[in-house]
Amino acid sequence: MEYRVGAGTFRALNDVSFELPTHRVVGIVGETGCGKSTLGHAIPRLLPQPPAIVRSGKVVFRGVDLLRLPKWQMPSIRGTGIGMIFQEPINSLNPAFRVGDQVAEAVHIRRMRERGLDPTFRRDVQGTDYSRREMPRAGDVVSAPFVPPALVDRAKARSPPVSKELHEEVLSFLRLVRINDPERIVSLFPHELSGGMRQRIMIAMALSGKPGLLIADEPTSALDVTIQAQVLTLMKELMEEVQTSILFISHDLGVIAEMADEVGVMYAGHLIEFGPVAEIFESPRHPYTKALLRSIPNRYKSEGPLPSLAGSVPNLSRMPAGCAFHPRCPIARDVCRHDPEPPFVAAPAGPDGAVHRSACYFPEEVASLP
Amino acid sequence: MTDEVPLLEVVELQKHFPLARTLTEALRGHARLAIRAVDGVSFDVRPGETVGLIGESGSGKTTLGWLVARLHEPTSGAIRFDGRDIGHLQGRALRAWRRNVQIVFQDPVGSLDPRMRVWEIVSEPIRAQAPRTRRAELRERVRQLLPTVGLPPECLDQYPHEFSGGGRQRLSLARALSLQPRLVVLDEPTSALDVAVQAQILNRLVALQSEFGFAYLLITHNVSAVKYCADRVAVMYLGKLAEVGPVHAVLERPIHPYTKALLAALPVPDVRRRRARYRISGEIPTLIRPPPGCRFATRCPFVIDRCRTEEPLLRVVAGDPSHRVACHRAEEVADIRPETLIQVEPAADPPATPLPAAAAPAS
Amino acid sequence: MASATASAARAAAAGSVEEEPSGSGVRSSVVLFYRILRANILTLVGFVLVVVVSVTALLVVVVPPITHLILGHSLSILPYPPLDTNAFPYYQAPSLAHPFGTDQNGADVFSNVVAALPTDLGIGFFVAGVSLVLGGLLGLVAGFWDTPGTLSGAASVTIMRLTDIFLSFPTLVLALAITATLGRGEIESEIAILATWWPFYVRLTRGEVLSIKTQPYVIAARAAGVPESRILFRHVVRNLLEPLAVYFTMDVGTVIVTYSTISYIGVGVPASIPEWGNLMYGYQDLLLTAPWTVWSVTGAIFVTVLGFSLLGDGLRDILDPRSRRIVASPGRQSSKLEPSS
Repeated sequence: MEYRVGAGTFRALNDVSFELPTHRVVGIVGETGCGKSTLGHAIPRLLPQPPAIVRSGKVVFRGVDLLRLPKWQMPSIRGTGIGMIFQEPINSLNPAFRVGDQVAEAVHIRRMRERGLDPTFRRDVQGTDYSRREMPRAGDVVSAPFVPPALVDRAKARSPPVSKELHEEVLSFLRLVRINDPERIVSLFPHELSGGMRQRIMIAMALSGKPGLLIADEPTSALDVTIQAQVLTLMKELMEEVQTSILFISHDLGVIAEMADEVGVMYAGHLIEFGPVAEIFESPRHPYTKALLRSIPNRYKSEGPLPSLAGSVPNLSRMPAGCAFHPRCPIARDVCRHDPEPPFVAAPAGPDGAVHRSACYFPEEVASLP
Repeated sequence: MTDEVPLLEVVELQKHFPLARTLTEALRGHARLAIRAVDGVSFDVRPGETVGLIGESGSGKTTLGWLVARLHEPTSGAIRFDGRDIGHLQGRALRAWRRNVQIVFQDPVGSLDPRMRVWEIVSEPIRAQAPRTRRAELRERVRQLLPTVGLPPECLDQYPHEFSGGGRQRLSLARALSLQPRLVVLDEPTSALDVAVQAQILNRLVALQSEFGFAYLLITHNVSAVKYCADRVAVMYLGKLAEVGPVHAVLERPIHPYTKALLAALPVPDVRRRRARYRISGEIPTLIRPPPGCRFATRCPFVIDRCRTEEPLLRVVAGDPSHRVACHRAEEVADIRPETLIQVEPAADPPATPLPAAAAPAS
Repeated sequence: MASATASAARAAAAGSVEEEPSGSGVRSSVVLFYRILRANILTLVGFVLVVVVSVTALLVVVVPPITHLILGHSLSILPYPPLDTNAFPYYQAPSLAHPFGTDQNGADVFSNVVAALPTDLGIGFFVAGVSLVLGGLLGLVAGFWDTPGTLSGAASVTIMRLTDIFLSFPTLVLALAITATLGRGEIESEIAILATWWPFYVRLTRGEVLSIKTQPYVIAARAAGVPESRILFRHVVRNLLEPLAVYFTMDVGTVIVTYSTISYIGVGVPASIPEWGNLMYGYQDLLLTAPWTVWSVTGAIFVTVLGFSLLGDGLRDILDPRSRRIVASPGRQSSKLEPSS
């Protein structure tokens, strides 16, 4: 998988391979520019091509290689097959439509597909019409604007019988994401909602397609910590209720530790370690993972300086030979400095049979690092 | 608190941003509303110490930092620097005073003029204070300054876009330190950086402080950064201080329910402490019509009727005069651990302690 | 590309400093300019077109008086005198002697078209230039000192409302109305266009100033105690130059088109002066019988406007230090300086 920019070519993703089992959460963690978002967008083929070029590889979803699928079939995979949640909910929701209509669109598309119909967004959805009510005045508390109940009732009354059912389903999805008064929320515009609320709407939209795989790209990074904790709680609960697999992409090791069953660590476009969450966090087998874990600040000034990782991520256009991490690695030797890259090999399987793979020539020495 | 004269003393500081009224509202005689970004805040910073100001978005922490750096005009209250009220300095006097307080911004891209070279950026404060300084001397001073923030002195003539995020933040830092200020306001200095780079910058900040003796006002939502850098912590919620105290006391034994909620909300990279539930619900209210009484009452699990009507004042709790909390039930909730607010998975863990009486969470 | 270790990368970064030294004298700027042009073929085309057009215009104006001074009699780079009636047979198709043919008056079309170049180009630069200075200054004032409730704030509001009033008339109609009032003539028609032209620059400049003014680097300068006047020049004006230069360059072409339209309608320069709009007016009936006349004028306008557009687009890259480095040192775009901890 490569990116073409200007005259040079960047290898944004390099031989990344892993499996995402059904009903599991795989977390992908890494620093800025390591390729984790590229990965998340490459799976449902959302990368603009050009500049992106997929050189080789497979994305097998439910037995079908998505990269071989004709372009016109991709929309039928997105939404109902693979759902997405993005970092900035304000950019991912259309500011010109009421959130109810946007969720209704997602529900509608899924229903049409279930019936084997072309899900063009038409009469059925427009009938819900969460329309005409007063715009909020300056000074209204934005998270709880005043809506006269009569107006909401009228909007509902106008809904034709066909879409009444759709309306109910929209409400049910909003209730699913713990929105207390969905009848009021449906008629609001995205800018009238708080960040946490918007992210709930995004989750509701993604889930309303009943996807088999949900790709969550930094879903809580734009939120405040207390709101982030609420949304993470919600996602945890939903995992129990809605059976779906999740690819959870985040730069926050804490969030990954909390959410993921299995974790992949990325560095400079490579997947350098992959294994069960407990293994990754407690006995990493790659020096970069170890360094990343160590550099989380968790001490007082009096306890000495923070351990930090010197140097920086190599630029993708000028990758070092051999292991991409060797210039910063405390245990690098000659073998690491020359091609080929270290193979992505599995450690002997643990008692529970979980496979823990890493791309390091000396995984045993990682444990002895400080 | 102590007999030492504080470097910076902020007294009942307020900053309101008035909102525009529509014509109909003006005709109907609605009062003009305002965003009450900072609503009566008092604290101090002593020479050479770091005060961490923690808060979420909309807490008014950035506004407070800008007030201290005199980038906003206070609505009311006093800002004393070295015992002198600088809240209303203007013109030449204000510009001359600015050498004492410098600010580092969050945005590593926007805070450096893309058309200036490194030496121009870093020497800008020197030039502002001494406009006649020769170019060669400015370059020399910048050359000497760059290594103190960990940048190679050869990069004098480079442009900011040639640096990574961490490098740019070092440039901002070099610019702020170029005048040897007494106080540096750090406004989310590491929020845009990766965790490995963040550790480098925090280490640098602490090292510089012990070398030159600056005081820092570290404004951030990042509790671990405050934990590492700060001597004292102030927790801000909706324009008011909820809790102020030594960093150990506030982080290890938080008293205010909001501080507890904040600490419980932090994702911890510990797979043995995976949270199943977070027990604080509700949205953060806006600063336009903040709730009457305690600002946290709408989300507080320990709320009682008094909290909804009467505003709690910062007061000394539990004997330590340096640790002050604005909570009516401070004594009762003091010993509740933040972990009580979360439920840890799996079910094998001990069942969560029931919250004390009157703990019906406001939904 | 180079497979380098991190230390090598740092060395390379340091190397780039040596390679392009600080003061970046005239020579290195020229080299840089050349590299940028070479990297972007469209910019190069625009640059060449603008140079050719401008040099030709200059020669048309300058050669006769200079040769008169030196030789005692004027020479011209024009093959024949422009607008010279009955000099040649009428309606001759393009040939070696008359590359653009001859027109209904028996004049050489090529000479006419080239003779019009200084007039049109001059008007383009004059109108766009005066608009740039006038509109730019007003926009700067309106954008930078816009605090409500102050005297300067009131001035800002006045400027903007005045701009809005001018903008609310359709450009062409207003220009026509003004020329109709002032009378026909070169100066009069230029004033007419100018009156409709400056408000765009006020809008553009004010918008840019408002966005630059809130950038953190401006706040940082203020926090450092930099006086407002210095902020205005060092940060605001400096960052303003690029978008204005780009807009100005493209705008020269737009002015030429608009001015030709006005003359074509018949309210521009007097018919005795060669000007593209005038020529077009004279040739309008010949589209079917002698199409080369019309196409020659159209082609001249097209080539000139295209040149300025392409150059304007390219200027954006040339003036931005961020892209400068990328083009100047291919493969080096990544040499981020990385500090030691």
